[in-house]
Amino acid sequence: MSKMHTPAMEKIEKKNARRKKPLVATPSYEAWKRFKRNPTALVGLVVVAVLILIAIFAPLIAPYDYQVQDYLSMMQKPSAAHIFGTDQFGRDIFSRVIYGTRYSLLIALFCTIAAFFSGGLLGIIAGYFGGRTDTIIMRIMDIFQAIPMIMMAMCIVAVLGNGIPQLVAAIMFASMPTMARNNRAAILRVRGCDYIESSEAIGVSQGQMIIKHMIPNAVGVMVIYFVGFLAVSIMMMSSMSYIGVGLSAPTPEWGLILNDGKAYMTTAPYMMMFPAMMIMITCFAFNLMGDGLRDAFDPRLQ
Amino acid sequence: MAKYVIKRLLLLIPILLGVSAIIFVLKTLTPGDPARQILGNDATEEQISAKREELGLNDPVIVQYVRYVGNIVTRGDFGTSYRTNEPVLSEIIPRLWTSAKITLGAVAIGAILGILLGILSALRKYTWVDSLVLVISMFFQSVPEFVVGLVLITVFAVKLHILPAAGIDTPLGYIMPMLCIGLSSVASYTRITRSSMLEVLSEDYIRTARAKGQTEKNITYHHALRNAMIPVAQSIGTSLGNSIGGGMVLETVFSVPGVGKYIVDSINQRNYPSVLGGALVIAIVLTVINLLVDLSFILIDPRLKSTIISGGASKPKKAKVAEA
Repeated sequence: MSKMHTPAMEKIEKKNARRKKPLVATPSYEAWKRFKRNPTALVGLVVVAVLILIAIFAPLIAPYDYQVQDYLSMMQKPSAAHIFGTDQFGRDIFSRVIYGTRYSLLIALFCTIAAFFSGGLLGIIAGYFGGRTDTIIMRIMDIFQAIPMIMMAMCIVAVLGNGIPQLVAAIMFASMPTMARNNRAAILRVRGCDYIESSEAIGVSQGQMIIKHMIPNAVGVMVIYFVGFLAVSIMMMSSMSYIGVGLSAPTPEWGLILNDGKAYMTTAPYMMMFPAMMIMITCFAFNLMGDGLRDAFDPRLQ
Repeated sequence: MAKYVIKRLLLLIPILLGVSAIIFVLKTLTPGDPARQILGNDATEEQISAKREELGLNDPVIVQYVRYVGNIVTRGDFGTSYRTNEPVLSEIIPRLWTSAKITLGAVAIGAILGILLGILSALRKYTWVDSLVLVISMFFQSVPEFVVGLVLITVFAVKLHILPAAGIDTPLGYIMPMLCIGLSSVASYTRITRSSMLEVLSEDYIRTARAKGQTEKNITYHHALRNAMIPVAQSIGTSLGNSIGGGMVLETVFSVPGVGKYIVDSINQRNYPSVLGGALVIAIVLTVINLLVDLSFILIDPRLKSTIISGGASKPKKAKVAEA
């Protein structure tokens, strides 16, 4: 996707700018064309977009504050005043779920970025340098991988305590081996290409090689992992807070809201219904989108 | 062959050393004094320091670690639970069996549904049936298992009262945990079956069979399915190993006394000998199952021998790059 700037190319580019659609099909443009034709992927994209809007405009949408306790209206069934009902402290569940979108999406985003900067970077280094560096990094990752992800995350939370940064760190460490493996594979796929060999031959520096030639070409695969990992982190985060590890009240995270409702499952099932639905919708949407991206960037995998 | 098995088993040593080292480091970093925890708040300072001495907590971490590893190697002693004073291993073994039963049931449910749906989707490729199957199976894959568990509990235990909400006192208690784990794995089996079926159906020998005038049914179930099942069976093998230790959240949701719940409880109680023991046992089980799965495939399909053995521990560096 790096552009050359010869006069001829500039002419074509000017022409393209006028044509709306580029004449020279870049891989990402091709991918977008395939993505647009995939109805399930588009549904995923639209739902994710709506969720992001909900997260941004949460204070405007939510009728109540998510942590204000109203002892006059405890444990109310869904009604016009509280469309999702209220919990045992009289907090409005709809408002908590809406603010929960903000927390869940943001934490998931932090987790994913952190995971890319730790495990992902290790994988890129291992894949690029190969040889002994690769062996050492990947053997260490093998050891980490022998510990189930959620167990690792829980042990780290036990060390660091509850809280958002601690949870992000825990999920980051726990996902390191998978992240490293995926990104290493992405880089290795590019590494074997002829144009990398030719850049090597004309003496491109190593930093330039990674940043300018390899990452842009591996970006498609990395985007797929990125979106996929957003769903994984939402799943992990909500699972952990449901069993009482990671975040603590009154954070309106969906798993925690479910945890609040656990005791009232038989008498007030609506307390769990709505946050559970949000988790389902969100994870499903991210997966549909990720799947569409995979098909779009790599039609061979279909 | 024997050389390969020994090599794979030897590879277990650095992994177990590494796993125990990681958990040991986490244990020493965790705030709180185990001695105080065992004795409770009423204990005097002398009692606590005597207990610390007894547990060897005053020694440097590295000494504690070497002693721990030494005990395992020489006596098969994985430590003693802080909470019950029982040997960790004898607490884990029965729980491992419980988890294994659930895993077997879950894998059976997932595989049967997944294979059937996969065949359906391959035969009706690019139709609405195909898309519907993929979307539904993906739904169960992308939704966290515990949420599916909660929905099942609400429907079958709270509303209909036909299944127990928690525990495995009756065999009925196994149904919902198995169903949850099973449903979440349907998607991957469906996908693998579908793509493998499509690949096999486009092979020359299928065309030959058609040319010979075989019925479509015979071709699908006799000629294609058998060969298409190899990658599916392989993934069943891998998921057997993975889900034994992976049921932590679900075992907690359904209060199933399996290894997963044991480890979760132990982490919450800061009962580190149990956490360590659990992690090591899971790592051993996982490695041994994966090895057995690989070996059984060499027996089933001798063509796989070279790929499995060269894909093992000691592959040459060149092959690694080519593999990607």
